[in-house]
Amino acid sequence: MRNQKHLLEGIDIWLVALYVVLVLLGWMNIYAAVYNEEHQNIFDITQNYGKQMIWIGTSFFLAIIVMVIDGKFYAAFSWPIYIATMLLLLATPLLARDINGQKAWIEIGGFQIQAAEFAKFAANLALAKFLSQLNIKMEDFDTKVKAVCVIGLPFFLILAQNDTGSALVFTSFIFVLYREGLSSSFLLFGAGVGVLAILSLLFPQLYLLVGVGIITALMFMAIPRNWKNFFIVCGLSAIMIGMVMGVNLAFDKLQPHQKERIEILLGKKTDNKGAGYNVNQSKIAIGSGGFLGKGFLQGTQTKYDFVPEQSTDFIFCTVGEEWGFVGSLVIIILFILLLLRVVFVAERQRSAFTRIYGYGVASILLFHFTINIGMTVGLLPVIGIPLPFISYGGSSLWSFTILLFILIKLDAYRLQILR
Amino acid sequence: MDQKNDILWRVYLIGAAMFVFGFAIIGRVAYLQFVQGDYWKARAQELTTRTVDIVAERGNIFSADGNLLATSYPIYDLRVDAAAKSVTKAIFNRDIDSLAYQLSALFGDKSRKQYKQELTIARKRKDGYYLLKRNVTYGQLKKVKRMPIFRMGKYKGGLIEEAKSHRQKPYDLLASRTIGYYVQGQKPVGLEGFYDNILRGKNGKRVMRKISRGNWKPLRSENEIEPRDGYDVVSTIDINIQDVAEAALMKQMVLHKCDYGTAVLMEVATGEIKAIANLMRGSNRDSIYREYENVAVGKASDPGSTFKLLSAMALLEEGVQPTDSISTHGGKITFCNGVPMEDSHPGGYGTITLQRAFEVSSNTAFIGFVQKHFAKGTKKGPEAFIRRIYNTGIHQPLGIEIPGEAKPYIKNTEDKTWSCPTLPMLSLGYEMNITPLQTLAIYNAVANGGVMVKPHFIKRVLDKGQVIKEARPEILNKQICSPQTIEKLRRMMEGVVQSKGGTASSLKGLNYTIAGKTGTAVVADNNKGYKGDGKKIYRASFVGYFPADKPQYSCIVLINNPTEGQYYGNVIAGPVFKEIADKVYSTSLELHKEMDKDSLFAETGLPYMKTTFSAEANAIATKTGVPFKNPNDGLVVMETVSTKNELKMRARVSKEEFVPNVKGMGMKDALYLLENLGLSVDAKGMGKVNSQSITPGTKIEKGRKIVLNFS
Repeated sequence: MRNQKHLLEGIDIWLVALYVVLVLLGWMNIYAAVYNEEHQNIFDITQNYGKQMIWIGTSFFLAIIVMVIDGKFYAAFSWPIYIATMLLLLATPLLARDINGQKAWIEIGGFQIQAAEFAKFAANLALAKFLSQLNIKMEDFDTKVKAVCVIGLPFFLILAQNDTGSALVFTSFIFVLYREGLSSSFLLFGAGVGVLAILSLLFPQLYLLVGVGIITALMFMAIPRNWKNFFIVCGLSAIMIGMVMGVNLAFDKLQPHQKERIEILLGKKTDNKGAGYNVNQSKIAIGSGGFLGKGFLQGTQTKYDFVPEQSTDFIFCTVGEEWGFVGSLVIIILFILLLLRVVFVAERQRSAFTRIYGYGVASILLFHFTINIGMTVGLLPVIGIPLPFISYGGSSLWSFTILLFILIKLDAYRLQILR
Repeated sequence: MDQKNDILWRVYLIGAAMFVFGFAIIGRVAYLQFVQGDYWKARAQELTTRTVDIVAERGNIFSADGNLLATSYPIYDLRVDAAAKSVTKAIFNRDIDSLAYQLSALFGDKSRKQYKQELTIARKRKDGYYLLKRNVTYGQLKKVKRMPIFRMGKYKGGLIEEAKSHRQKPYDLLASRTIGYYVQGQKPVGLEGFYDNILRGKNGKRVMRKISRGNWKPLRSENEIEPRDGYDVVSTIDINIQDVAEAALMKQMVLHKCDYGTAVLMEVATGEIKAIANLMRGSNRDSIYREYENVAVGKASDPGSTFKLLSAMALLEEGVQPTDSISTHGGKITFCNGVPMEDSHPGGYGTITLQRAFEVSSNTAFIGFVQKHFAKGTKKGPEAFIRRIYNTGIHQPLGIEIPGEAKPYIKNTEDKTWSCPTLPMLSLGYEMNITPLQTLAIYNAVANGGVMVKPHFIKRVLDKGQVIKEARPEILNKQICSPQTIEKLRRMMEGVVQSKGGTASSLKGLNYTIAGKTGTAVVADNNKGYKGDGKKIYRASFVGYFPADKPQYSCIVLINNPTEGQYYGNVIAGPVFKEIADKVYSTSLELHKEMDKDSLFAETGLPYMKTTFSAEANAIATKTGVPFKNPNDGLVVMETVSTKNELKMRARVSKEEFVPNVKGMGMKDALYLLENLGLSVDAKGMGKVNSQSITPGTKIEKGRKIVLNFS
């Protein structure tokens, strides 16, 4: 083992470059989104683009700190970091002010910190630490339960803050578990549940129950007849019937705004002035962008503040409107490249800890990227989560920077261990 | 499966998932931008541009003599963008006190403290559209714009002005119901209502583009569609006569504590309504009268004795002569098995002619005549009477421009409630509904030689002063009855005023003659019926025309429910009629006998003219048609001397430093001349200068007093 000669040694240039490009593109689009004619200077810190510059600067600083800290630290301190973050999450509702019905932001000296953002890399570290133990096998029931507990704790704590979007991010760890050997049937089961849930909301119950009956009958015909299969098929049918009956009940338990968002997405309801306003305005912005877009600072939807939350959750509108299809493609390709690079980096590790952590990074980024852009283009329901590196906001930029740079550090550290 | 392959599978699957999600999003973006692109572009266009109406200026309504009866001017609602960013905390805190003070001082509706408090709250709430004050005049707006904070400028100061058009009637009450109003969604009233489509004009359109949050500016300098301002309407109403009509009616109604009344003056030949006054007591039964309803147009009721004109017309048309006579049976008769009827004159009039029966308005005589000629079982029957009446067209609406004309109804034999007493009651003007204006139209037709013209309220329509439509008299009935009958009817109406004992003899002895008919209808008080416990109420009216020999104007005055003991048409309605007629007569030169210039001068010699300035002397002489000779011009004082054939003018020479001779001058000229020279004038008496205290030719001492005696 030897020491890193200097900070940049072994660093993955691709990841860093993609990170820097995305962050700068984000800054530019935030400038366009909150552009104020009276404060045209992008460095004006009274405006959000000036503030984002500060966030970017401090993020770079944080990245350097992450790189300076010894590589052993992250594995060693996974649990303490996890526990500290969970305590912070627990304390958040007590310390936080109510913002838009959420109690998720703690104010520290004029800055607002969202603990949920930091829970992402904390949980990722803990999960990596847990699964990388030598005697842990994904096939064990015990392992599954414990892994779900590690993920589930922040999930429920964040849910308690009424921040459903951030909580849902933790479901993306299923990819990590899958990579580490979770049976495909879980993934299939998950997908099946999703499809059935959507169908239950779209079609009348009776049709679906008839459909379930037909599928059950087909399964009986297709499989060898024995008692075991009989019980499996019956069990599956029971679960499907339960789903069909239960989804609508569960749906009714959702909060009104969540219900509306889902109904609008499914096309069961149009409300372009109320709950569907954001998405409709967002679609206008993106749809009117055309191939090359309207040009920097020329987007009318962007400029006249038609899209609420445009610098944060709906930042992709600015890209779509001002840079058109070409700009959207660039951003999406950059993200796919980043994701693939993260997976590639993860796969080249010998250390299970780093690999699992890397997959966690990929999962979290994938979830954010898909859900965020998916909602702006009207593919997915509106779930208020930011687009990594692009959206305005200190907490999210800091946490994504830390999340990514821990991976970069661990990846660079890999060489030190092995040489 | 070997473990390595399995893991590879999983890695590829995860990688594939990333691609799938990525492509799904790219596909969706492409779908939005290319497949649905035009749709979303159109939506974006809609959001950033909008078409706004440019409200066309509503046309004015003028009186016949050119006064404005209704016009529009802009008023404003003031709002404040209390979230305006350029109003910083420092500016706000510094200026709010003086702003609140000035607002309070200007509008006086709220205290300084209130204004400050409300604006501060609005600012705290970041209210971008706080209502400061409604209905502010342009003058006030200008002042508000100069106040602290607001004077920072249109966008920076946060003041938002919203212009509205306010309709104003400069003469307020005068003919207000006839001028009327037009409010979207309400029943149109009066000329404003009827001519709304003409007055309103056509709104233009302008495309606006959003330039920043909440601010829009026109996309192009020229409008998409230019607004066409409404046309002006010149009404037939003469504001001076209208004023007299309303004042006279008001005076009488207050005096006799009446419910409602109307007075309408119409030009005989054309049907132009020169004045239309409608007064009604407010629902709280105080003595404040306003134009609540257009009584003349909208209230149809039993006309009473004024209808005897038509009864007489029917009789005359059927061959009865004015000289035919009938007994009044001591002023008390019964008909149709016991229905009683009395004359207002106790004891009746003996045996009287139809002419006399009309003049004294004998109910018994009219019933007698009508029963004799038209009762059921006679050769002609009641149908003939009805036919004669209907032939005039009075049973049909006049079809006037003003909305809300009540439909006339005169009972006919087809009516289910027709019975024996109906015909006699009809002849006295009961069992029917006609409006005052409809009654007037019939009287006007008689005055007009039998030609019934439609009453109208509009002289012409103007577009920026250019006449685009001139109203022409519209004939409703070329001949309501034979010319002979018309002549006889006019004699009868003249008799009402002129003959001894005629019901309107109080209108006799004027410079001009009036012809007409009184009416004193006894009507039920609302629904109580006039026989039961219901109070009898009277409706006094007078309808007629003047001058009787050469009718120019017809007029009706109708007053309902005088409650001070007197109720006869001549007492209640007659004075109003007279006052209106006096006004018209005194102001209408065409009513006076034409002056014969030559004979006038022959009798009196050429007129004397005051010493005055040359140009003025020329103008006066030219205008009056006096032959004259004036060799001078300009600012020279002329002395005039009348000779037999012409006015000789001679310049009166004066030098600046000497007191001029002002003898023979009018006061205006003398004052002008002397005060300009620096003298202080003390004028005594009236007329022309008889003597002056300083001899002409004396050197002027500035400020010296000069006494002028005028005689």
